[in-house]
Amino acid sequence: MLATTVLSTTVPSVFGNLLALDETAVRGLSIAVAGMLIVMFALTVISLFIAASPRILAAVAKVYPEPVERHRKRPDPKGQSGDDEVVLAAIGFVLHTEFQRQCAAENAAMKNG
Amino acid sequence: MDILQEFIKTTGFWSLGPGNVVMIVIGIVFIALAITKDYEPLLLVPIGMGAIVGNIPLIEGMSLSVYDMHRWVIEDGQVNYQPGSVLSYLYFGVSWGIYPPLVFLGIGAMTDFSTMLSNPKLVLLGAAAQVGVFLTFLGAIWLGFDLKQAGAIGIIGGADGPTAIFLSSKLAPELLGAIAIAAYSYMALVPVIQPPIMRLLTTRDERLIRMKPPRKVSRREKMIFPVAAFLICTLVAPGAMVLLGMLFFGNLLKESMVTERLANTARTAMIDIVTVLLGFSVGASTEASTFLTRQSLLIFGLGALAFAIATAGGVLFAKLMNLFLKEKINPLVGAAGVSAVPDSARVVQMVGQQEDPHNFLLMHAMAPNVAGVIGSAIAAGVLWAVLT
Repeated sequence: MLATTVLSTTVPSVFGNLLALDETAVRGLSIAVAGMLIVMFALTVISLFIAASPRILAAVAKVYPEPVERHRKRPDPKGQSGDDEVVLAAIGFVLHTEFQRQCAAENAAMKNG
Repeated sequence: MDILQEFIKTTGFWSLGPGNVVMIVIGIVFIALAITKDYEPLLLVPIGMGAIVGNIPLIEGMSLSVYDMHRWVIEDGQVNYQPGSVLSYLYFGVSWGIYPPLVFLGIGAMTDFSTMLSNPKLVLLGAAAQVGVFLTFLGAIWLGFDLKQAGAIGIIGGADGPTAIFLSSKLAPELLGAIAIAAYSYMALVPVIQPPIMRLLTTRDERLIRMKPPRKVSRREKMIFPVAAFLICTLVAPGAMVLLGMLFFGNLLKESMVTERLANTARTAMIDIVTVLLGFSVGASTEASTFLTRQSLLIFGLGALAFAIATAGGVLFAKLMNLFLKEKINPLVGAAGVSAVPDSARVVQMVGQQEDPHNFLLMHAMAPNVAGVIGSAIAAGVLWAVLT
């Protein structure tokens, strides 16, 4: 009984709302659906292109191989930090060696003294 | 005494309305959020300061507001030129949609498409998240906005400030201030809005999925991509030509390796200057009389809805893709499809690491993130073309 009452009230209201959809809403709905499909289509094509590009480029590379070093490389921050580490390591090594030499000299002096 | 009374009437205190006070407080809140919470400080500080400047009451007869444009006036049969205010000239770049493409140029020069090129299926997540744009567009129509206004409001779901400003300057300039503020506010609130939706729509096992590290992308692929992607996008949706043209041009400057100086300028000094002008003039356009309206409140409500739908759209589409894929995608990555570069990718990383501290999703999330930028620009192009 309750279900019948609910249906009898809601179904006409839903249909009423559908009928009440004016031209703007219908146009809006079609724009939304078309827009979503266009966005999806464009990005799907991009996705397919990206997926295919390694194969296309591999074929192109047979005729026109990719140059190894055509342009000047950008400064590599990693490389620079690597250089810094090498310099620091060298300085550390020299200091350590010098310290060892001084210690050895002091020990020898103490033994002799 | 009369002179003193006249002077008092020209001060801001005399004509400061409650609306101005509210907007000045909002401006201060923006600045405070940027400083204390680090929410999009590069945008919220200029917008916040602009909102404060734009809500100082005007003196009658003085050309101060962003809306005091230059004009030709006929007086005594003679045509006289009246210059606009300084702010109106700065706002010119917003109202004519000049700043957003310049911002896109800088973004292009900053963006590394490598992760997207190494995993092309993640591009689809950037498309799925655009459902937020079109559902919000329908919601705005349902709330009584006309088609053009609804299109401009819907693009907030793209989570892309420059795109939102560009489209609203073309379709609904009268809503530009509210749309820009809503878009940037929600972009700043990405770390607050997205995580609950992401957790709600995913299981723990899904959040623990680890993805394969991306493959190495060749130089040639990176150089060809901007030109090819531009051609594909704009042949499908020519309306996106301006934004995507500048985005991919910026990226070409970066990847070609022969225009390093130009790329460097585009991604540093130029984008900074444009961001300052854009943020400040958009903020200054939020005069209480034009901003504090019922429409603005509705736009803010719809903007929140747009972000939530876009996030859910990306996550759910990733789950759908997993039904067909052998190598599963972590569905959290879908949430990054809402552009908002790189904040939404960072949120994905954060939520993923809450479940598994050794799971690094950031590089995977950057793929739908940059695809989302392209997707929202295409959506804007479609709406602009259809609604003009």
